[in-house]
Amino acid sequence: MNTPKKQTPTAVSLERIRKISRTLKLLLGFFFIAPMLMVGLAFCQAKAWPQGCTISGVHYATFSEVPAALRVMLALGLVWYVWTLVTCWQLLNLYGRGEIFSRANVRLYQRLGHLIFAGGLLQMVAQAAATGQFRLWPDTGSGSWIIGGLFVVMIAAIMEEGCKLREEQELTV
Amino acid sequence: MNASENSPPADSQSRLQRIKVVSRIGQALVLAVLVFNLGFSLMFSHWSSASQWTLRGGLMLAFNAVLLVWFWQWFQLFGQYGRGQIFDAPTIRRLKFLGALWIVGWLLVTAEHFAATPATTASTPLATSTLANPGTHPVSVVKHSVHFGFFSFDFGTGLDFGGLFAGAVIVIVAWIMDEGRKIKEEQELTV
Repeated sequence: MNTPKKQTPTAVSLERIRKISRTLKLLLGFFFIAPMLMVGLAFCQAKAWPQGCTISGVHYATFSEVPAALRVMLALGLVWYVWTLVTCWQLLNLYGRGEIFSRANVRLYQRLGHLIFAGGLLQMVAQAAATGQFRLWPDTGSGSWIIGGLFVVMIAAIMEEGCKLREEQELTV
Repeated sequence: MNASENSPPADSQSRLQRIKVVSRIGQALVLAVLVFNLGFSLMFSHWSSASQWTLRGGLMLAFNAVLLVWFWQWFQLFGQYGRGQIFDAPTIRRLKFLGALWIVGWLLVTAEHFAATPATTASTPLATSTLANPGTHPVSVVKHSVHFGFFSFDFGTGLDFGGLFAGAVIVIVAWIMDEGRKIKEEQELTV
């Protein structure tokens, strides 16, 4: 007899996690790819190269006016941007597979924490390179990312120890 | 019966000790940032009388209050970690609350941004000059430039959506962790 199979709560939870991971991937794509698309669209609409660019609050009439140090920062920023996107994608893939408290996840949290910290630091250095002034507490933006990154690294370190503890307990049982 | 039979093995104890140390460092860091922020806002905020209070001032006050609660929640979270409650329901609930607070903070900053930007009126110099000289018509020259910035997801609106994104991600990740915890509990019960 064909009766509809009743899903177990575990299967329902896993399905929900999969759905939310997919939604997050879409959100991630929107937040990381949309700004690049918008810049491209702006170029296409203007049918010309922009007449200036503003980097870290400082306006430059042409791109050649941008100091070399700031250009290096921009290149590093691009690498950082792609690496963060890849890390988030890997984390969501693990969630999609139902891996939530594994060591692989914790390692990715740790990498994400380092990336957030590095992003804040990069923003601070870029601001110093653009304005020529170095402020220890530059703005709420970079300062909060640096501290937020530190917090994420710490939580990841705690979770790693927690994962090891759990594994040991499972082996003991 | 030997009392040491019920105590965790030495390896687990050293791990718990490590967790405690990292949690204490985290709590100290949160306290330092909290004190720094409090001192900074007390030194540089312009405190005025109640009659001079504006909507903008009120929003900033509310944001500072949210920030204080946010740091206090971080402090409590590290305290829970220090007690060994790493993947427990209250810890995950606190993470979710931290994400929600972040979103509330972002909303307050956004509202403050709108309160600070005055609405543009129709009587701009260009419009009045056109009215004065009916034979002429204005020619607008649009210069477009590109803005670069890290974590700047403003989509040309002048608002940074990065904060909203970060808050939403924290809430969703905490929710996924909660689901994972429930699965693990069910599996343990089945075994």
